[in-house]
Amino acid sequence: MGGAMSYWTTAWAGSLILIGGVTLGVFLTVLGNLRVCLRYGIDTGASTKAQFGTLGAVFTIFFVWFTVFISNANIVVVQSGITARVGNLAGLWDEGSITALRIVFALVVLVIIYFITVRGSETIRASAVWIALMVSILAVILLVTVLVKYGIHDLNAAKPVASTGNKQVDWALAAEFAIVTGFGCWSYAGGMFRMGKSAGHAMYASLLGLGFMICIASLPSLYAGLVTGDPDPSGALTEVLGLWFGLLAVVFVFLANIGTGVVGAYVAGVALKQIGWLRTKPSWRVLTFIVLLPSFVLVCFPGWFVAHLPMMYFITGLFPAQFVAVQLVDYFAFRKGHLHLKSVYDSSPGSKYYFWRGINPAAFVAVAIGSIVYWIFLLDPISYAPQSALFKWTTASIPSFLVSGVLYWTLTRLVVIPLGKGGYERYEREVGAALAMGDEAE
Amino acid sequence: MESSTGIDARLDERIREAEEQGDEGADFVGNERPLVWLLGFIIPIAMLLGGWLLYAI
Repeated sequence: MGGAMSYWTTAWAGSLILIGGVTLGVFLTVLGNLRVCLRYGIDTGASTKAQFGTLGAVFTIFFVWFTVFISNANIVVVQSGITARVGNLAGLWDEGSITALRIVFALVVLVIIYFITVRGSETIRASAVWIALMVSILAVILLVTVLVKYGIHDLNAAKPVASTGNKQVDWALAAEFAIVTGFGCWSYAGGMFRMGKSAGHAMYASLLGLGFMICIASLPSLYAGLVTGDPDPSGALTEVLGLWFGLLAVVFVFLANIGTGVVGAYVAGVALKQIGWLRTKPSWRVLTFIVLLPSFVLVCFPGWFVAHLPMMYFITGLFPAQFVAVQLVDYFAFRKGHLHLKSVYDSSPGSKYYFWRGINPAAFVAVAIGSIVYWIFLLDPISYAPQSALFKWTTASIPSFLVSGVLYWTLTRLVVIPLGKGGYERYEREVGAALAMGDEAE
Repeated sequence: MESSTGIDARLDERIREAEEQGDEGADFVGNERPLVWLLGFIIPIAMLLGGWLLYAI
């Protein structure tokens, strides 16, 4: 994350934009999921049945899985790349072995993630605290090391690696990257909140862990990328830190990736369990293997995977802001934070979330139009080329988030509710009561 | 075993437990609401603007 930020910003501006943008995206995502997932003990995929329909939610559930296996493969490939390079630097193997060893290390890390995940949520909860603590300490050590090595003067003088030549556009690209990264926690959010104790506890933990500390952990990559001109953290950090601190970086990335990978595999497994035939049939061990299988395949082709990563991140980054907008409008404007839990697990026509053959077109239209606005009018998510002059002032995720939210409200209010679909009786009763009170007052 | 709504009986039991649990812990309490908006919305926007002032101006 920090490495990518070094494309467009300087050290101190990038630090502010990174922390601000990621935290904003995390906050909106948490707000959209927190109450419902915590109150009913359900994950993100299950919670979207109220908006997308009992069948339509298969799309969001597969999106969670897709995001997790791409993300897990990515972090493991970076991890194994750093390990292979540091080993080469230490003289343990020659340069020709780096690619093969990178694959071996990646497979080993995925096997470790598998064995921790199959032990279930309690093990994850217990180990996550220690992993998070270790990662936080190591992140601060790495940050101080990079700052001491290059000093304030060099960091002040460092220029963005790939500036567009327009500072306003550079800022918007950096801010968009940070915001969309924050929204990226959407796939993970519900699966974690369902085990939370209270709303405040979950929100503070999210802002601190998913927002602030992840950014602090990314700052060494930003600074190293700016100083070396290489935004790839596996190369830049090794070059900046040398052998011994490079080894520390290996430990740091290893712990961070194990933690993220395990949580990802867990939430994707929980999400897939919402699909009828996966709810009871495969054991948790088999399901975890299914969740991780695409990552196992992808890490065997690190060159191909890294080359196609922008396309994959295009898919994982394009939709979450629109998903969050639809969830926020649905929960807060119409359902007032309440779900009919039985309907979440009932895929028959009797479910309140059956809509039309299990699908709510309003949610899909709102997400699709928001995504089109993002892509056609604001920012090409593959090339990261701005599509209009508006982008440099508004960024892309926030306007498309607003478009999807307004559109979903309009379609639900004018089409879905009048047709008696979606189980919005509570909203209809409240509107009816408000109208009756108005009539009485007159 | 499936209930009349087409969902597993054990799941039915868990759903009933979740519904009986009520709203405890699901909402922000006391001064949490303004604090989370400050930490999650106002300060992040200020930081984005701060980054803009530092770099783009």
